[in-house]
Amino acid sequence: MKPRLLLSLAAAMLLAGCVTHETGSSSGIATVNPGYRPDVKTDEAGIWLTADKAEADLRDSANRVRDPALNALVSDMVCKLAAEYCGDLRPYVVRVPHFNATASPNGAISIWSGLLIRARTESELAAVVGHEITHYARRHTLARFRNARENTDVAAVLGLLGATTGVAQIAELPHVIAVGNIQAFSRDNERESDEEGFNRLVKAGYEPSAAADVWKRILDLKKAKHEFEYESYEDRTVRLFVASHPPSEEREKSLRELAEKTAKPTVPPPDRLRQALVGVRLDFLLDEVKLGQFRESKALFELLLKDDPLPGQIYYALGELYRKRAKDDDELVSMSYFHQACEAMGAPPEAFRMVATIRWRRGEKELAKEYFRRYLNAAPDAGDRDLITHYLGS
Amino acid sequence: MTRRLLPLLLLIALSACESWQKIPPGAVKLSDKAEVVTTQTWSGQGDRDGFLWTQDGPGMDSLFFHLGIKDGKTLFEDQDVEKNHSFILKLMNRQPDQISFRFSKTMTEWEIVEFFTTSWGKLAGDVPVKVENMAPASLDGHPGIRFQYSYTPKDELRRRGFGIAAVVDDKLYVVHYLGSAIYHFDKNKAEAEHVIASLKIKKG
Repeated sequence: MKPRLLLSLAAAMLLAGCVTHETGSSSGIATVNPGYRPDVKTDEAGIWLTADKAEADLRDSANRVRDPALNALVSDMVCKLAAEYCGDLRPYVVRVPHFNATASPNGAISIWSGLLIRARTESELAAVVGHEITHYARRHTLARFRNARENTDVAAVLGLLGATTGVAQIAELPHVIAVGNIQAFSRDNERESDEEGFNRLVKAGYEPSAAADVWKRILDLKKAKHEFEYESYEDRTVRLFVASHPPSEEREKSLRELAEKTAKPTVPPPDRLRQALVGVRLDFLLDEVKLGQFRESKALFELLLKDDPLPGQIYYALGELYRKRAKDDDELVSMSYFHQACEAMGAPPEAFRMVATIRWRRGEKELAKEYFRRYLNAAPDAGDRDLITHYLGS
Repeated sequence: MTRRLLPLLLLIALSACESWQKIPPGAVKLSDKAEVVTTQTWSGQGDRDGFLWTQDGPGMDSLFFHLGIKDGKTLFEDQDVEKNHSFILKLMNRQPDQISFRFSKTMTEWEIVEFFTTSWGKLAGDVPVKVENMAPASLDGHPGIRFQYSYTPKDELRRRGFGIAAVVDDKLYVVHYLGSAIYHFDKNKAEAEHVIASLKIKKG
């Protein structure tokens, strides 16, 4: 077969492949019905089997957060958003310090601790969870699986035909196009989830602008992380070609437009997030510090400080961030934050210990001892009591 | 000249990838400045970050020797972000948004333990490492700190561990032992304690 004929055939097949799937009902996959379980003879049953196994691991995971107050809030919020699917969804909070939530095809929803400290209101958290519920309701995992299978099947055949030309680039081209198709399909799924997730958010009585607000925050944090290189980073064509999600700017803009067209809720939306996080947030903040991403974490903590009811925790986390970086005057900056933490609401006992530690190192032993005593008063059962007593006696 | 140098460079590269060795009972010289005594047989391996000994396999129980970490260095070389940052990106003045957790000779005991647990948690895949206890201790007579810790890595098998750290001649020495909380930690702990207690550090 002549290479030119092969290429024409390849192009025709790929173009046909491009219009096979769209999101929504035109994808040929119906929205899930409440109480749904797939027939055991289908490919979907296989996907569910894998998801069931992953959920069993998640349920028993040591990193699952079992705090009752937080789990109560999340369960209630998921039910509000899911409405008819309330009985089919099982939310899990997990201690993973990155911004994310996931929905499995079998109804397991995981909410990551990094998301919980980045969402400033219950409405913002609900916006992300509503998006995930849509992935479940629209059976996006199954749609993506089938889309990927069809695209890679076509690419394999065309790649084989292309190989007969003896030109490696022609053999590779169908695979590159397949990746582009698969990722474009994924981005369409995400757009659909943004839109339907927004509708769920509004229907459940949450703040409509929260969906755009949460993406604005993620964008701001990304900019802080990448500083001056941000524009070129996001604009790279290759990144857009292979990205599984639309750019954050696009998501924020679309969600902002939807919010502007939507009436505000008549009753103030519930905002129980901060209260529900009281028992676990300090651990989440310190997990963030341990990621070692100085610029992003600093931007996040400064943002949280604006109206946080427990600023002692934030000041302590900022102090830890500077102490760990340990450059130039970082120790003095960290001590200043630790001092502010000691005098603020929500101060963790460790803030006193850190002031004492730095004062001790600087030779200010009497002042250090005062803060060691304050530490022991605040944490009488501390695991390092013997060590503190040793310092106080020296 | 290049042809003659190539085999030599290959030999150097290969020798850097040390394989497992049998550590028989008796005195073991870990480096010019550190040696220990063991009464049991271990399997051991050394690399640029220190030495790892195990009895039942590194996933089950491990005895680690981090010997002589200098001021400003990371616990693991791979965690030195600035050092591993691409030369081209450095030229373009693009700095990664990543802190390298480094040892400082002025660290207090808490900070040393915290430096250890943060570096270890990062190695285990950004998992939290919980310090359960800290108390004054000595390592070959040098004042230091003993600590206990636990964590659950991605394999969901909880690990328990303990270690002793001390600063000698401005360098950090950390020897720690860990094992599966359900079985191996208790099984080999006594021998690990014995080995750690036998550590001799040569000053200067």
